[in-house]
Amino acid sequence: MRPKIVIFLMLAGLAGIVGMFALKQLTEPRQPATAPMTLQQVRAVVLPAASPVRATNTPAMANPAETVASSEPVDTNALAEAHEADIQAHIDRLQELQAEDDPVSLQAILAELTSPEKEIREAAIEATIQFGSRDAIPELRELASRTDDANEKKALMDAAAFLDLPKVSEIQAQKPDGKTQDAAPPQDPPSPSPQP
Amino acid sequence: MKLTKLSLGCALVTGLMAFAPVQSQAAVIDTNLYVPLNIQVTINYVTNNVIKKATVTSKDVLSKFTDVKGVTLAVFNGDIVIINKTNVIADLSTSNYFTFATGDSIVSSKGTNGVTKYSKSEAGIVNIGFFDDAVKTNIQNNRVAFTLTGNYTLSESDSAPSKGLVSESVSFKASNLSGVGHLAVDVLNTNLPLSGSASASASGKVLPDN
Repeated sequence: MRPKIVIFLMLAGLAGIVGMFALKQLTEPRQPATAPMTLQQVRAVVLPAASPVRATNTPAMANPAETVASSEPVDTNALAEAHEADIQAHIDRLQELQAEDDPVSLQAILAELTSPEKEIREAAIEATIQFGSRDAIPELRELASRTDDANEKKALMDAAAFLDLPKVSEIQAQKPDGKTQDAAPPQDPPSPSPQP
Repeated sequence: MKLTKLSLGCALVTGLMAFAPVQSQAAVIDTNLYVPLNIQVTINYVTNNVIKKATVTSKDVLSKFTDVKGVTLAVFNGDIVIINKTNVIADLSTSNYFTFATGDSIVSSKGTNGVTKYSKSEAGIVNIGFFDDAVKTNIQNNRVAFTLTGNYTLSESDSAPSKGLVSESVSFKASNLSGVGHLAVDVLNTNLPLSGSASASASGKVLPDN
């Protein structure tokens, strides 16, 4: 094929692409002057205020409701129910994650400690405890130092302290014959307690 | 044009995947709601003439029966069971490893369960017991055992039935429990003081209760 023909074909192709792009721009609907209220904005009006903990981590789980934007009238009851369902779904997911034992699952749990929803943060603290890894202790203490909410600060510190304690299974592993030694009936009757 | 369609299709699929709802039906087995139970216990014991503390969680309890990965302790009809995503693996109450009972309860409710939208709030006393050798009669004949008691609150909400099922949501909390336990490594071989908490929460589409 001659070079002139090749160049002509390339230019024709380029012109076609530019044409398609221009056509797409013309046919796209224009943004309305006032954008419809998003679900997030509605939440800010109808639901309690946000968390005292400042979110610093990227949430592990996307919030689908925030992607919804509709120009139709908003049913606040339905939105509140959807919001509750979304929170419960996060809690259910945390319960699944706590049954795992890998670092990725732990990170996903820890990410929820900074959720804007208090219920999710509470569930994340519980899931961190149940997951049972001492790797979570620095994160719990760091968050406790940053939160202004006294109750939440205590919950985070208590969780760190709980994880810092030895597990019964660890103690038993050090003393596996404990049952034989201690569960048998005592040889001597226990000494009576001093009477008041 | 085909390429454009394909690109748009890929972008749409990617977008849908990125914002897929967080949906979990892990607690629903055979249209029944099994409510995952989280227990945490701090038990005091004596070793080398020093009082020390040790912990027990639901996961620690599970580890005595099975590989803990992917399984959960759950409450169903007052029984404590082990479940995975699709099956009930074991009933720990019928085999005398676990007890779970509520009493002295007060209840307020609105609506009719299974007919209309329904909600219930409940408060009372809960008793939870765990016996790792299934000896409920003498706590000290177990390697690890504990009994916990204290106040609880329970809230439940159910939608009106649709296609025979309701959307049910249950939340149980007992934050300040206390009781006694036994730990075989304790040199005093006596009942040990302990504290703890229990919580349970789940939701899903299930058969109405009545």
